[in-house]
Amino acid sequence: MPVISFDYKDFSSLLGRRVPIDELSERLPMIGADLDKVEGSTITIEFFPDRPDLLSVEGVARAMRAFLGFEKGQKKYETAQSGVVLNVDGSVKSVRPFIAAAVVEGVSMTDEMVASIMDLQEKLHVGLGRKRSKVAIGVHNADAVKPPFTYKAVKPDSIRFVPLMKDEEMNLDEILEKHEKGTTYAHLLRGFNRYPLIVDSNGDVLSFPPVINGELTAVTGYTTNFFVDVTGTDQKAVNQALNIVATTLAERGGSIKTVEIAGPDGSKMITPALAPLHMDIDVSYVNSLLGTNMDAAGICDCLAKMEYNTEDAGSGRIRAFFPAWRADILHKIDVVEDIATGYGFENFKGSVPTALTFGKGLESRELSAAARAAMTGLGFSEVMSLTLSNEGDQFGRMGLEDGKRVTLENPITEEHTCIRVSVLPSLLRMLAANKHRELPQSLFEAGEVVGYDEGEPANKMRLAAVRIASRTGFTECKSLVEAAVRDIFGKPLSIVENRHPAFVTGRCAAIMVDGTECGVFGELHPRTITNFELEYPVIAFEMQL
Amino acid sequence: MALEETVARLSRNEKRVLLALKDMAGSGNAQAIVSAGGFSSMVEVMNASAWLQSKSLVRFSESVTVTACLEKEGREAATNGLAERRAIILLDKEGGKAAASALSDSGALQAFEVPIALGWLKRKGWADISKEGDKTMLTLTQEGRAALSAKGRDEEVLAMLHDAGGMNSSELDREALNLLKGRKGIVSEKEQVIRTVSLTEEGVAALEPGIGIKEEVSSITPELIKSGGWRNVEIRPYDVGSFAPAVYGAKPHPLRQLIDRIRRIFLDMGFTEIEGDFVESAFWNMDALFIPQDHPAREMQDTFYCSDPARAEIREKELLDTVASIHENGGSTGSAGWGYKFDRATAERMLLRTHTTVNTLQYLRDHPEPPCKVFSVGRVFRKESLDATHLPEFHQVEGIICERGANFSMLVGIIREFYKRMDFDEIRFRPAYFPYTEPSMEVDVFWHGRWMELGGSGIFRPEVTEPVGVKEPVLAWGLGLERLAMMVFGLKDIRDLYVSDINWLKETPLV
Repeated sequence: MPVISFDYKDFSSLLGRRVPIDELSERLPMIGADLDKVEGSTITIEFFPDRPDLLSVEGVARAMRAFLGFEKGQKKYETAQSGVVLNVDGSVKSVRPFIAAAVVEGVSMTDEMVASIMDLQEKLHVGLGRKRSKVAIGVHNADAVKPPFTYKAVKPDSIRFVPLMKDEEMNLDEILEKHEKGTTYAHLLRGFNRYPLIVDSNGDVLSFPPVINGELTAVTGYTTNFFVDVTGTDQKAVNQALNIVATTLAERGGSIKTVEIAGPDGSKMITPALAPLHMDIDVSYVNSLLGTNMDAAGICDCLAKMEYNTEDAGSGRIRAFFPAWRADILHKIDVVEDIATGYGFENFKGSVPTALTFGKGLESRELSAAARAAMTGLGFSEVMSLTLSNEGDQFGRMGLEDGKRVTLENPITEEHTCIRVSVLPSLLRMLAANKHRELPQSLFEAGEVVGYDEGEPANKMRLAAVRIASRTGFTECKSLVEAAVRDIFGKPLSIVENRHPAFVTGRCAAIMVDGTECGVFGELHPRTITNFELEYPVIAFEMQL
Repeated sequence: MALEETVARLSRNEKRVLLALKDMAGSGNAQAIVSAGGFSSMVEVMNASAWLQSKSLVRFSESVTVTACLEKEGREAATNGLAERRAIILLDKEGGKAAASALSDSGALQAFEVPIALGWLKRKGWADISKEGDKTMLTLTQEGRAALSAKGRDEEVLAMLHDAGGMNSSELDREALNLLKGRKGIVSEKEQVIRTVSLTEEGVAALEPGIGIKEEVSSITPELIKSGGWRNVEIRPYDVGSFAPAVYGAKPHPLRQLIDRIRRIFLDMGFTEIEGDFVESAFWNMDALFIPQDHPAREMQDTFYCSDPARAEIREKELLDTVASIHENGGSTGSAGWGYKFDRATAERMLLRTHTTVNTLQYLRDHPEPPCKVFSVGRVFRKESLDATHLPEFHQVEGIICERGANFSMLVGIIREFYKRMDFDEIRFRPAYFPYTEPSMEVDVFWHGRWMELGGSGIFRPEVTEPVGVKEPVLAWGLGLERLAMMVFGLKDIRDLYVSDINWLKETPLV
């Protein structure tokens, strides 16, 4: 989850008043966040990925002004036309079709603020922007370039410019090969023969989205007039990202000016589009979902704390206007959550479900509970092991050819490449991990393996046990299996000689219950024992539950 | 401890020592007690006396005695007579006079004894020694004749020592003993420390009312019980504080004990248990739960995908179409949807379930009519590296309630009840985000002085419930079992749960 840190003093000045830091620590999580830590005057907090508008101190302060009741309702940002036109060339359609832009003028910047804007930009890239594949943002010094601007796709070697953090001109392929941002994001352009580019009326490069800006428009602590471009593959996400960045800059005293996006088909779009969107919500719907008994005014007050404006929409409905920088309102249920948040989660006292139901445990779990009772009664300690395993343990070390199993495409380590088909190898691993401990050791596990039912992977519940001791053998094992089967199934066991490469031939048998083979037991072969790096005799069994 | 009680708890041997001392007028050495008390060994007496001393009933005192004992030549002399004795017997036989050489020639003395005999004959005045030519001649004196019929004092001591095998020097004729000591290899004296055991005043008082002795046994045998013999014996009391070796019972795994406890809580609250398979399609695990197809959690670094089987056949064609349209534009749910083109190939990928919610949703598809309350405890998989705080495989606990009129306040109420039964009385709720619930809620519990994040909860989104035919709100909550286990068992390393040290398993108590 995205983590942001901010300074209490800076936050307080954005908030417009001082709230004691302790109180703030209590209240911040209640709008939807995990307070990470408060160290001196630095507050570190994790916000949830559905609220990209809270990824900057400016955004958090705006939300808290409403939530704490200092400025209820929605902040209105006045916009004027900048006169800037951005022409979109048809060539971008296949590679990165969508763009939105804004001009923000008269920001009084500091170096800290530059860092904070860059930080916001990076976090938007990661979350909302899906690592720049969906959305990429460029923030520029507007005074360094001359509109109108053009967004087009060009051949990689057709143009050279100095990218950010470099002092030499490079063509686009060279940037992808040599520039650190180039190598990181080159995969987003793989397969395209023309790359997106934003240039000004002189042909100077503002940005090579989604990779890097030009050095020409680099932002410093002295920049006052900004040009913001957002490109991407999803128009809605592009617009939301622009709204978040533009209003964040405006929180620092800037005034937002719109840009005309002129499409290749002659269409015109004015961005940023900051007019609030709305949904109509039934008062009764809200109360029935939340279990509250609020009237329309009460609900509107909750919404006002969450930066909503509201209107009466007639017949028991409220028109809820949510801010254009909110990216997470898909359904009226999302508005209901904001009402609950505005109401305060701490104010829900709780009620009790009323429908009568009768509880019932799974038969399979009851059976494995019986198996555990039987095994602990026989002096075996229960262990639990991972079901992630590997072919070496499951097959090779057991003397088997690789068999049918579920394998992983992206395992974490060579130890965890498949799901186990047998529990015994897990127990032998456990014995190996306890070689330094006193003998004898008697362990069992009642756990799942994944086998196949009619060609489809399916979980199976197994019971397996091992006993390692300086003296043990088949007879002891047979007594054990007979006791276990008697206690678990309440049925006699019949035994048929069996061959299994992990066991000594002639000291291995199949477990038959009701005429069906359901497991194997016997003395492990010294080869199996040494394969698992053990040094004493081992008896073992495994059966289907 | 009162004297009476002390006496009552005396062992049989302790009592026997006390009684022996009484017979011996209150004190005696260990050897004497052995015989007076009829003990079979000195060790029994010393052990019992030491215990009696610790109970202040007897005291030990020490005295030093000097014992005289015969050595090898002394024992021979006691049997055969001293050299000068044998010499006068020979002289008498030879008519009162003989050459010194005759002593050894006759075999009465060995050659080396001859000068010793000459010296003592002279010293005791038993013979005159003279030269005749080059021969040394011996002539029996008056004293010598008298000595033939009476033992000297030294010979008496020699005989007493021989009979007794050793005696206290103070009981012997000191002068005679010194004579013997003046000879080589006859007698030696040794210093010996004698420990005397004496009754203390308490010891005397303890004996006053009389002490009865029953036969004492250390183990209760079947014969003792069957024969009724136990009525006439005393069973030896033990020091109950003394060391006993540790033993450990076989038992369920600590994590299992937690699972059992949680199952019990759910069952008590009227929930039905469900389970499902580890291997699932992305469709059921992700898409049907409205998790966007480009969600970071779906990437290869967060979810385990299967290479065999790699693809699932989604048999629920109609449901697949519905879910696809909901992702694209919200379908008929009133949602805006995610606004992208739904990719069916992405939905068909096989994976290891990342939550048990997939099974919950499948259950709801099969049982869409309220009311229903179900729960599950099952393993889920996330692509995490194995370290002290992460596992690639862990247990998720999940419960849901669907009933007519179910609401958010009810969710708060049921979670409060659930955690109360888990012994977490103090809990708090705050807003959270999960892709398939709205509103979503985080549950913190107050544990050892601080708030710990322990579970997530919420109401399933309409985009999730409507396609499976559920019309009423579904309240859901869940928690990670291992995180709870770490708290409860005070574990620093989460791996201890799955690669367990047998000693840890032995020593962890049943919860």
